[in-house]
Amino acid sequence: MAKVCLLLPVLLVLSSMGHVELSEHQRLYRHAADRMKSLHLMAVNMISDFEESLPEDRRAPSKIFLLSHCISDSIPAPSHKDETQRSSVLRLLRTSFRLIETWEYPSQAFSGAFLNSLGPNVITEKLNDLKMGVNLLIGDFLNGQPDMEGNDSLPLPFEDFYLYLEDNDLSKSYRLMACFRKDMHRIETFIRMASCRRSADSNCTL
Amino acid sequence: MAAIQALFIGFLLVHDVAMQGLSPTFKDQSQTPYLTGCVSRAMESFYCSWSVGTFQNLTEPRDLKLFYMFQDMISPKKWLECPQYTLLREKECRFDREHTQIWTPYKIQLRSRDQDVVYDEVQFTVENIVYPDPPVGLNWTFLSVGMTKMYTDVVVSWEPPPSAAIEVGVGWLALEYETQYRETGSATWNILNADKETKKFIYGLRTNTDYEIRVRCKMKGFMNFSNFSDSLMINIPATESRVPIAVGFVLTAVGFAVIGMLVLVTRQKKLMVIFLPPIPGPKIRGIDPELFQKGKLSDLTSILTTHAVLRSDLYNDDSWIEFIELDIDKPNETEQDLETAFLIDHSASSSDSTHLINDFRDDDSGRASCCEQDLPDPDTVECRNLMLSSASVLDPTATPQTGAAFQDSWSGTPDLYAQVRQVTLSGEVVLTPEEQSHRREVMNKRYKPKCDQTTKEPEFHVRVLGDSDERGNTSEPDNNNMSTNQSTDRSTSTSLPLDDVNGAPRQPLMGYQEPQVAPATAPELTGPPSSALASPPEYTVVDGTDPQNSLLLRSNTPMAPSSSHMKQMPSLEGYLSPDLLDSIAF
Repeated sequence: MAKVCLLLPVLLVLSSMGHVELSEHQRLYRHAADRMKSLHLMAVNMISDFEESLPEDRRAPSKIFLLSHCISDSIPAPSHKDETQRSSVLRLLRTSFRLIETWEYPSQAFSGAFLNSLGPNVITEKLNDLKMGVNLLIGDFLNGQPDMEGNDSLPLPFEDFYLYLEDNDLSKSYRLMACFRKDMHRIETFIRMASCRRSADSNCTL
Repeated sequence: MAAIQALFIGFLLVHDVAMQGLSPTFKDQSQTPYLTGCVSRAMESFYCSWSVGTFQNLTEPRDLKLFYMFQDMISPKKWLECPQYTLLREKECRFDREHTQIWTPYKIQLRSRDQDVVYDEVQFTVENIVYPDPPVGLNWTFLSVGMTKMYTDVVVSWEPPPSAAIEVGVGWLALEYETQYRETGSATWNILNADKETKKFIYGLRTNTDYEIRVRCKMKGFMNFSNFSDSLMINIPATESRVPIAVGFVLTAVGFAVIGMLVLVTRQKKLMVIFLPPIPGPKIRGIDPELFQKGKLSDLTSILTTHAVLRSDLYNDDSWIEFIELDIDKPNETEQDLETAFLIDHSASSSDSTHLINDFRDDDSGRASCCEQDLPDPDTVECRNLMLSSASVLDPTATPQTGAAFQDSWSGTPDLYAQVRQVTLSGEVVLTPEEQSHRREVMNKRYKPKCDQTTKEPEFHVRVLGDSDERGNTSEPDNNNMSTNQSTDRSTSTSLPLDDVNGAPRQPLMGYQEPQVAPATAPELTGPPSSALASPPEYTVVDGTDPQNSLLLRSNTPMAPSSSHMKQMPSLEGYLSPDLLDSIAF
């Protein structure tokens, strides 16, 4: 009986700490989701501004060269809704992390031409910040446990992938931006689903 | 010419419409079958539909086939046929979840039965063809109305489309809702900013006006809006706002009443003190400001004089400032002091006046202790005591015993004689200034009452001279003057401690004025023969002291003192002890 009395306050403290811990990683997810939303909107605006800058006669063909041959195609990622929902939170976070990594170098091409008002390397900085945030989410999920699936030693895609495609300048630019927007939307969806899964909302487990 | 232009314009328009369609087509829709578009409702499945166009002979099923292929780098380049043709309408191909890959480019082709003719082809990714269903369940709630009852605010709420409700719930699909409203009959819609909330606040709607509200949604980050929801018709009559206004008026009146009551109540001093405490005034440490208000100057002056800080201001180095005690204002206190003086005297020594003399100490400059007006200085009391003692010497009823004691005490005291020139109204006896320095020196050696201001001042004591025999026995011819006085003087002589007649600053001889000399007579005591006096010295007998402690001098009858007094004082031989003096007085 005395032991139970001693354990009760300990349990209360642990439960309160659990609540605190939940709110902390919810905060991390919220931060990551906000940053992701910002990047996605930047990608969308980038493409729309690019299309508006094109002359009228050249806008139609640009839409044909949509999203084929993106660099992120080589990264295994869930593409179905059910598959995504069946994936673990850790897999979603790791996939997001790798997708961000694939854009660290190619995003430097965005500075200058399309985002003059925002300044140089804005997207690269935001990507780095987001990468750090996703890393925190992975660490928070693992909670000190060793990462068994990580460090797969899968090589990153060829960094100069986009440069060696047989595209003219217009197609090259459009492909880059289209692939970027697609990947941003994908990462945003993964993070959103992981956040919903980690929250106490029962709807997310459907 | 005009027809050609019309055809050309029509062609441009058609082409433009075709380009703005859901999916690009390469064929003129008026001739060949074409894909009307591929649509996804919740980004988990999609369907593509087509039209036969003008080829009416292709109404049979499977006259047209749809093939698709993934165009990413990892998927095999293989055409696959539509996974599911709809049964009801054979012009639609449905891709279920298994065959729906998001973020993967699709290539869709509409082919003929033989697959040798490709009528139409489109490329897309599923997220770009998401057109959600419109939201449902529009409802509105009254929020508030303005004071003028002309404008009101409402809250409109809805539900996400049922086909995407699950996807929205799990976070797979993020929708944004755009609200539009207009007055019924107006052509322009008011468009509000889209956000992810399923409710919207609409402000500034006019009362008694029909409004139409509609909502549509789209996927966040994309431009494909859904169709509009069913419009919501609202009309807020002005009468509905009267009730809250009446309540507002009532509440306002109640509030004013409460405030008025508070004002009336707070006029009472107690509550005023509670709510608005008085600001404390400046305080001098040790002094209560109420003394100023109540006018108790006596207490205030006592505080000021006793206060160490203030005392230093009062007693500065101005030595020319004299402090005179005025006993006119305080007759009662003087009587009390005298009573205490006598008490002290009795307690100190019963018959021996040596203690009285020895108790006199002049341990200060002589000013401080005597300058305090209100403090009954025990030294001044002793001074008065001495005065009284001196006065009692003159009492003819004094006993011989005390006289002997007094003689002993006074044995070492040289006899001092001085001529009393004048007795002032204030009780001072003015003596002729003769041999004052010598007398002063002698007196200061043996007897230094505290009442002296300084040791420099002369002192003259009242003494009653008796027979010459006693005089001869007791006195010591310290100076010739004295001996001369002894030999020639046979009457009583009085000497009083006086101020220096030369005009030196008077001392605060507080107690010296107590035994006031009755100004009935003006006895004159001549000094020693060395003084340049024309008239022979005159001596006045002190009859005694009156109740006011003043010396009663006999009328000027030289050489003829009253026999009664002489008789009464034969044994004394002119010397009275302080005890005798006390007995005379009381």
